[in-house]
Amino acid sequence: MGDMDGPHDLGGAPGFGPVRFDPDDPLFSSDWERKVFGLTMATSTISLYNRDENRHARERMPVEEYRSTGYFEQWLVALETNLTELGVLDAAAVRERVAEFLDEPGREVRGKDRPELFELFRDTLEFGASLERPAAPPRFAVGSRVRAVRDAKPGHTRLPAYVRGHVGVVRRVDGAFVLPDTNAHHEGENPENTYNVGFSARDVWGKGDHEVLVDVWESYLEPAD
Amino acid sequence: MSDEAELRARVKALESLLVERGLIGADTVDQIVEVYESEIGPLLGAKVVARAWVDPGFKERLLSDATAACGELGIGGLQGEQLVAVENTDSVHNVVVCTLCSCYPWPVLGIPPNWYKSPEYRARMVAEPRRVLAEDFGLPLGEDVEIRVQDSSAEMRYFTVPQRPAGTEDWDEERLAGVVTRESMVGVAVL
Repeated sequence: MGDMDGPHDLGGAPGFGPVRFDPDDPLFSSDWERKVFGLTMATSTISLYNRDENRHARERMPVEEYRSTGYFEQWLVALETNLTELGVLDAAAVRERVAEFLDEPGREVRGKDRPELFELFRDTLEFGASLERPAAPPRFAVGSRVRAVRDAKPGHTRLPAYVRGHVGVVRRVDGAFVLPDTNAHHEGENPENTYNVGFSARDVWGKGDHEVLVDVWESYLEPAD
Repeated sequence: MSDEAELRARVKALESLLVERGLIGADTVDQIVEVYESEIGPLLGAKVVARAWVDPGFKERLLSDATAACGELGIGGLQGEQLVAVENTDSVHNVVVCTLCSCYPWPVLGIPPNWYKSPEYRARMVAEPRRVLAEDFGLPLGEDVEIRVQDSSAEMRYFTVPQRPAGTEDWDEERLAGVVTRESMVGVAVL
């Protein structure tokens, strides 16, 4: 497999043990996890940052930090990164406020309610926030043999490292969507067609009898024939 | 000072500053989370699957356009704007993963459980699904069953339609929905 671009790109990464499966795991294991989830949903509802920026903020964590950090702590890091980098909050003010809450752990967050914001969230919940956009006709069709590009550009991308350079077959042509690679960096939406592409595990990893289906944007592919 | 205390303080700091700025309300975070705790979860997906089991026309629509078919039941929206349902049979077994983060069909299954988001699941399910299903989920599949692993790496959000259990021929839709588990709709269990 190719080099991993970021700590998040885990497909096929070696060294991981058994999945700790527990059907009765709670959604949140503590109140702060619950709050991180709610804060992320609230701040994305009012579009303080876009979804791709949010993902990229997690993906920029150093690999050791990413791997030693729990899921919702990664979300918290992304919130802190985005809210301060985008100038919504001042980093020094955040540090000061953290110190205050550490000194007074019993202190609660108080302030004005904003019921209209919950109504806005309800609308987003119901109607979604689709990133589908008009684009040129698709370059590939069902059955096309395609090769995933070998090299990823620096920055955010959604092409998993494990398929890079490998040949697959287009199984389905989906709609055109905002390109994460540019949207994460404020370089525009640049919508592209997306495809569901099947790769043989044997080809990708040299073993296995299964098929891996990956969803990719058009610029991640080139004709294989 | 425990790590938990620090994490709690970091979260409170962000929330209190955002409330002070008037960007969110003091009530907003709890209201949003309560929706995911009480309204949205795998019970919704179970309704979809049960309908597919009793109504062949619905099943056909579900497998060709899951977004529209789920919409018939009032199910859809955020993080499920484009839904895809894949059918598990005696010969083909689909399983869903997101290797890059934790993409999951929220309106159908709720927010993802810890094991789905874990690095172990994300790393291993794409590369050795037969072994992970057998050893970690207690689901040994026959060599003659073809496995398809769906990596949710773009905008489609996937769930699987498990096979209807034997002996349920005279059950009604509501009773059927009661046996459909979250795991069976991700593809890490059969019923």
